Amino acid sequence: MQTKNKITVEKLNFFYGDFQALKDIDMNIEINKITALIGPSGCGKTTFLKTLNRMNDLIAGVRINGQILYEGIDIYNGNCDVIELRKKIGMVFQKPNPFPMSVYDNVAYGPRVHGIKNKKKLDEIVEKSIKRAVLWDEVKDRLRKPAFALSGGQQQRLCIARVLAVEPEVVLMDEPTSALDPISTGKIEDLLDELKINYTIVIVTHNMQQAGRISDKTAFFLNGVMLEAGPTDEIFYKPKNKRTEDYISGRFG
Amino acid sequence: MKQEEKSLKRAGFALSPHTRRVKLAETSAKLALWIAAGVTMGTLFVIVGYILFRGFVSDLSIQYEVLPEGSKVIANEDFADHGLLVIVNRNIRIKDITVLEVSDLFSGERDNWGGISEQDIDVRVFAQNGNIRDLFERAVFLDATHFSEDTVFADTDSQIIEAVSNTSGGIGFISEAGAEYLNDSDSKSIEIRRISIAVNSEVLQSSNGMRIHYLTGEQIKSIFLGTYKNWSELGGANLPILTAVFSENSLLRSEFEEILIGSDIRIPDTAEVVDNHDALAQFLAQNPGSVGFAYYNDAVAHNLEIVSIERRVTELNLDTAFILEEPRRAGRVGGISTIILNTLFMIFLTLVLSAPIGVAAAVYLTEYAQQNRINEILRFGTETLAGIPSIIFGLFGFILFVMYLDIGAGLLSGTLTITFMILPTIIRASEEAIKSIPQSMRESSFALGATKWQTVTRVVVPAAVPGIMTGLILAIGRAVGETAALLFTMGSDYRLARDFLSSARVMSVHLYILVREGISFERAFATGTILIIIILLINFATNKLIGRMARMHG
Repeated sequence: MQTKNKITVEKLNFFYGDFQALKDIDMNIEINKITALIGPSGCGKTTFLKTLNRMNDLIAGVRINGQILYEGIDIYNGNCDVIELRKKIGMVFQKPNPFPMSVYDNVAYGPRVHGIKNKKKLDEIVEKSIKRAVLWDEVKDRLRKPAFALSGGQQQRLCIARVLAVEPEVVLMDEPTSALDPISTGKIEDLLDELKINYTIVIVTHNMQQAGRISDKTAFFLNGVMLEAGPTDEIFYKPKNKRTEDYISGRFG
Repeated sequence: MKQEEKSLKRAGFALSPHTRRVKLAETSAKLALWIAAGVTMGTLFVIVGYILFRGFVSDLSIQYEVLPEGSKVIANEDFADHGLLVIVNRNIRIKDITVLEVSDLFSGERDNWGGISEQDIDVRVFAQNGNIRDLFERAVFLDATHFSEDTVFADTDSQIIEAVSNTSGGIGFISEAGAEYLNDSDSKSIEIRRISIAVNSEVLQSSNGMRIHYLTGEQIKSIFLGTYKNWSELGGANLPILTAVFSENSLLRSEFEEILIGSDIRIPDTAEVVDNHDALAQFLAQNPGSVGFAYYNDAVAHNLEIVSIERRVTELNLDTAFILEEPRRAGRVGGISTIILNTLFMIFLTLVLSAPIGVAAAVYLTEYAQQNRINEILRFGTETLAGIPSIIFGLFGFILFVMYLDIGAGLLSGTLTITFMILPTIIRASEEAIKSIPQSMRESSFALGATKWQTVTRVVVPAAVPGIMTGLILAIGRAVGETAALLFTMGSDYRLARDFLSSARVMSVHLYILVREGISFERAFATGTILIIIILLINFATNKLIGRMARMHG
């Protein structure tokens, strides 16, 4: 089977001031696959995730070198439109963080800031996105109710719907289930499985079982270095690196 | 029980001295906190409660030379077959009046109802000729008094009733028999208070620092019923009380008894009975400590010593008329409707000016400003400005707007001054509100491809609205109650502001002027009460609003 790389990372170095958070990362992110990033706290996996849609731009004193190619185009090139990039590469955060608006307005927010005003079109996008996030049946009668009235798990799926509404190709997820109960987590994991048919997903997780259950590829980070990456089965059952094995078997981290 | 204690002790779980000490410290700390909170809250409740009470209820003590009550029918021994009624237009808010006031109204001494009913209405007098005129002049006017030149004369009761009913501020008199026509007219008859208490002159003289200043209705009743035997019991000189009364079948006696004592109790026989005013005057002159009663006119005509009588009037101070009517004669009469409206204009204009500027400044300081020296100074400046006394803003506003820009003391100058004064409060509150919006919300917005401006205007500021509103309320509270900054800048015209430049009095300034110029404490309290109620209403409404928004915000 021919695999295709959606994002290619080459010799990526990342600095917060003097502190180097990522060292010489080389990685391929394959299209329509779920790539899991694992590693102990502070290893740089979230930093790496945020470099992919340039969310680190918001932090002062950040320096970056190396290349991140999105379908062959360098996203850190000065001419790259960050707004277009973020439309293509959406992001779901650790804690469900809907905006203080109605369910409908949350999902319509993205399309609206990108200039869609037509009511019918917005309705369509909202319905489609919420359906894709497998939330429609639960919220279709309360679209005008505040998003905060939803449960934590529903809020996180709403955040996913909000990202899907801008029609991205890649969805980055930063520990999307760490603040949720097991049942909500299960629902999100099922959702991810469906989403990878249409999207490329990169997910940071602390939960080894989760990485094992849902991901196709796994990358193990330690102290800013990507020690090992490959198909999930290989990383979990035949890790080449001793420290990967130690981490996965729970000896540290 | 003892068994239990022993087993606890054995296990080492009995109350140890250390635990006991800690518990004692905790209890006393709790008590201290409770007392501190209780004293503060209690004081506040007392203050606000007192102002509200004084605002709603006026309890005035006024001294008159006549009894606190009277009767509607004026009759006289010489005209025994008929009495007369004094009637006024229904728009005059009085129930009773002293005979001297009636005399002043008909003689033209008073040409405005202001001093009597607190209404700025001109007096229009109507009188009748014939027997009834003689009775009226005999019962109401003193020797040299006569009808004013403006008096309109009519011939019948129904003409008088019609004229009084159709004339605002009208007053007239009709015969007792004409009372039946009053029912479906716009006139009403009022009580005339005309019985005075006359005393021997020594009663009012000071003896060893003791003297009678005034009597109350209760005291007079007790005097004539014989409860008091000596003036010293009432705080006067050491003189026996000797009462003089008119004979039982006299009109004056029965009116006095009816008003003061009640018809079923009689004055005891111990009192000296006199037949006429000359006899009364003689008795009073000859007997130290003697006291009697007489119609005010007769008492004056016979040079009797009249003792002041206290009348306590407890009535609704703050009525709808006070809210709905325009102020007249420096606020002595009428209401404060235009002043309330001026205040609302001022608040509205201030909000329109300061809310957008304040929120914009807060957005700049929190979302856009770099951490550099200029912005630090800016921030420090706002904080300092928030603490500057308002009188200084008033002075500044006076120099800048009234003198330099020469736009005069008026709505615009006042509003601009208040805007300067409350902007720091709004900026600081908005800054705090915006800062409290979690960074994750901004990040999610950016991650969806929104720009900074879109994020700020569509997510951050809307989410901060409840906090911003709280700041606005604080600011409005300051603006509504502000006096010092407005004294020089907004003027004190109590009419409705016609344009942005017209001088306009607001409630706090009105209150200040009422007290400062000694116009009326009662009205000052009523104004203060409305001020408090308005602030309460604003707070209540905004709390509701914030509550509704907070539900949207989780």
